[in-house]
Amino acid sequence: MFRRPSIILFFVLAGCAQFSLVEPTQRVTVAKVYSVSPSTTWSGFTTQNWVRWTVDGPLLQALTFIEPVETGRPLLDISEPKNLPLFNADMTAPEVMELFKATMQQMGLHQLAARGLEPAEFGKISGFRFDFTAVSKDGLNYSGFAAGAVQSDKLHLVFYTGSQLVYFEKHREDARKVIQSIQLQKT
Amino acid sequence: MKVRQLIFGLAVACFLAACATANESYEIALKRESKGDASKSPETAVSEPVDDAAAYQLAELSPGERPPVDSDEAGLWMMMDKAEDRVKTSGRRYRDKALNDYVRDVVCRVSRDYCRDIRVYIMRVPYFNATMAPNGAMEIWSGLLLRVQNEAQLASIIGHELGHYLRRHSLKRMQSVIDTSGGLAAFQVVLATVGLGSLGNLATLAALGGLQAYSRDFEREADGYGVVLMSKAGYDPKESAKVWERLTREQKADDEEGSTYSFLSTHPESEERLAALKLLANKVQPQHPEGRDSSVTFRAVMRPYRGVFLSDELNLRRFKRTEELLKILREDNGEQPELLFYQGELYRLRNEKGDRERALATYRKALSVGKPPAEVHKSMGLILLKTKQRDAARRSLAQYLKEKPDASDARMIQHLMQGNRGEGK
Amino acid sequence: MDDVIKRLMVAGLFVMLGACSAPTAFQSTDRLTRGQTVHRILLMPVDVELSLLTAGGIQQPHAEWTAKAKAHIKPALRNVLKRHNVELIEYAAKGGGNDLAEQHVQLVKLHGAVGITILRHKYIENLLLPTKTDKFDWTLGPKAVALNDEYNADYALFLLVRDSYASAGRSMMVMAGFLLGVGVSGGAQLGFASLVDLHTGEIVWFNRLARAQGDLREAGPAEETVTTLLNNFPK
Repeated sequence: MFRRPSIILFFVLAGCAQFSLVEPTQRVTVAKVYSVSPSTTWSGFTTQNWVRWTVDGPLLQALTFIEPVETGRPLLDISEPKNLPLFNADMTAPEVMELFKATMQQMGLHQLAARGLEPAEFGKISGFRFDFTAVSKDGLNYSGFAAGAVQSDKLHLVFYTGSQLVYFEKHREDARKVIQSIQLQKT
Repeated sequence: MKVRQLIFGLAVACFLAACATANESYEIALKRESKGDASKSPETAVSEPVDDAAAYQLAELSPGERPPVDSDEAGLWMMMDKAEDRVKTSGRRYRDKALNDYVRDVVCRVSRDYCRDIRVYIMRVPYFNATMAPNGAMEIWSGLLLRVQNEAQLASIIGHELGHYLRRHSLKRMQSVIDTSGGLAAFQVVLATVGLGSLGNLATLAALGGLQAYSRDFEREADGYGVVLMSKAGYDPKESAKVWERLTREQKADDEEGSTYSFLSTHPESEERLAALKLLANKVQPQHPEGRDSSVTFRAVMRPYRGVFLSDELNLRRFKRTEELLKILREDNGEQPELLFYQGELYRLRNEKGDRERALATYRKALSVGKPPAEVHKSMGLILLKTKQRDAARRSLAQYLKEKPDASDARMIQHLMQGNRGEGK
Repeated sequence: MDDVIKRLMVAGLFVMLGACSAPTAFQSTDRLTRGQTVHRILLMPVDVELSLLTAGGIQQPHAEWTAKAKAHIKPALRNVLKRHNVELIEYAAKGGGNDLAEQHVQLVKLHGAVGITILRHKYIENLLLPTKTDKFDWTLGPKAVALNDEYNADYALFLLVRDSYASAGRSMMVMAGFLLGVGVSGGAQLGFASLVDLHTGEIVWFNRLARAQGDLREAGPAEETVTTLLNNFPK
């Protein structure tokens, strides 16, 4: 799915494990600001400014926490592709959804159709959520949902994706609980 | 008929006599077409009947032919078959039946006897590109369908790709890459550029610009085939040059991308190409003197998809190019509300100094000339919210919901109307 | 998926890391529990590609060898699986473009994603998933039964093999490298076999192949490769 980060992982032979265990026993803080209750056991790894949790493998399902994005920055801190759209602190929720869609298209999730954009509490502040479907380049169907809010002029965004067959559903509820448990820490 | 072909033959002969080698490859295509009977003198050589299948057989490939399994070509073919399987079910494939049927129909008209050897795949990729693999699998990208003005221009591209296919350019190129060695990377690049482009790295392919790029000689040969095949199918060959004129306009508008890596660097120089195409077009007459009037049908067929393809185009954020493209489309179609809406979207997404005002003005213009998509009211509303014109914003958002009651973001829009921005501060 | 396999081969990771310590097979069962006296197994289209590894390091796909390999693999599979009381049924892709056909396509693609996931996260030291330590529980889900269609099979077997053979020029380089104490790869076999329980969709057995020998171009050696591929196949 997010092939580029994974390929980078491949060539690391330095001997340190890339995935760490995240247990549901206590709260953890991820991506600098999200304090969450994991709700189940996950394998976590970091790619640039994203922290990703998975149970069965990131190609099958993943819960992604994006470090708060400032005005003028893209959702993913990478050099290629160069033309990623940029966040602006005065964006409304529909525009953030647009930003997400355009970013994902360049990251390998095609024909992304978002729906159900609505106001929702996020980390005890007023935010938004939406659902989406997409297809990978290889033609595997995916489902997902995202939630976020703008606070202190920064975008906080968390999203969950999984293959429509089996893996989205498998930890959908766990992902929802994690997002619901979010408490935003001050940076 | 005979008189015209006589004149045609004379023109060919004169041209050949006078011309330097630069146009030789174009002429190869024409000569082959006219070589119905080698024993006749040049002046009368082109007296073969219009529908002579034998003329087509002069390609290196016969209809229905497949390479023997122990050949180099078979290896490439096998890879292409596998690649085609991936393309068939790729996430980028655009399956809309009406559009696929229409494009397939045009391909058949141009390829004639070879039609049954060809499978056409429309890919939702916002770049101008069409590729044809040696096994007969053809990809046409949505970015191309957005940019050609009429069926004749589409036919010219199809004819060009058929030229590569019929002359087995991809195999010849693969052999030369392997001969001159290089690394694994080179072979992968070859596979990506001789075959099904959408499986490759789009950024690289975008950099290649127009169509999959072969050597200049091959490109010229394909151009020649393009002109001949489209005219045989009843299209006005003068349209072929226009495709490149339009593309060149777009690329010149974008100073960042245009210079270093564009089709201009791998395809024949644009001016030279345009000149050669125009010259060829003048010599080759369409089967029906009026040329096929394809603009009306083409525009009608493409209309429902234009918005989707323009959205994809805007996502690329190459605003200078897109602005030029929209200008071209407005010259083609007039100041249509939908085109004005997308011009407004360009300003909104670009969001440079003064763009909000430009966007609003353009949306208003769109509304004044007709009925743009309902999203125009949403876009206006979102901008008006930011410029603190709350009441006007509310009116626009309300209009959006009125025109699109089943909008997937209706709840958020309502929330915004109530004076909340959907964020915490 | 193909680009990933290619990258793995280029990186040589599998051949390098595929040595002694890593297990070759994973399973959630060591017995074929479905089916009585005979186990009906649906053989999915075998994804095999043979190529020539040139002196310059290019993998040139070889249609004739690939065709030969395909011809040898099926009888070899039948022979090897006979000892497990298996009846092999060949799967034919579903045409028609309807919902069921689309379901088939998605199931096969999901298997591709699962296969890559297992190759990455159960075999490569650095990429092991902590949530899968001592666990092997991937599945195509209950909808996998759709693959069964009219075949009335209990299991589905997926095979993927990439095999490269050194050209004469390359072989000389390998020899030269040997003498100089420099490693030059002389072609490799990479692939996997996976067995899916069609009643539940579970991947009940998975075996990776990663080595520098083996020959699929002739019947005898092909059977050896298949035997290795089916190492630890459930009884």
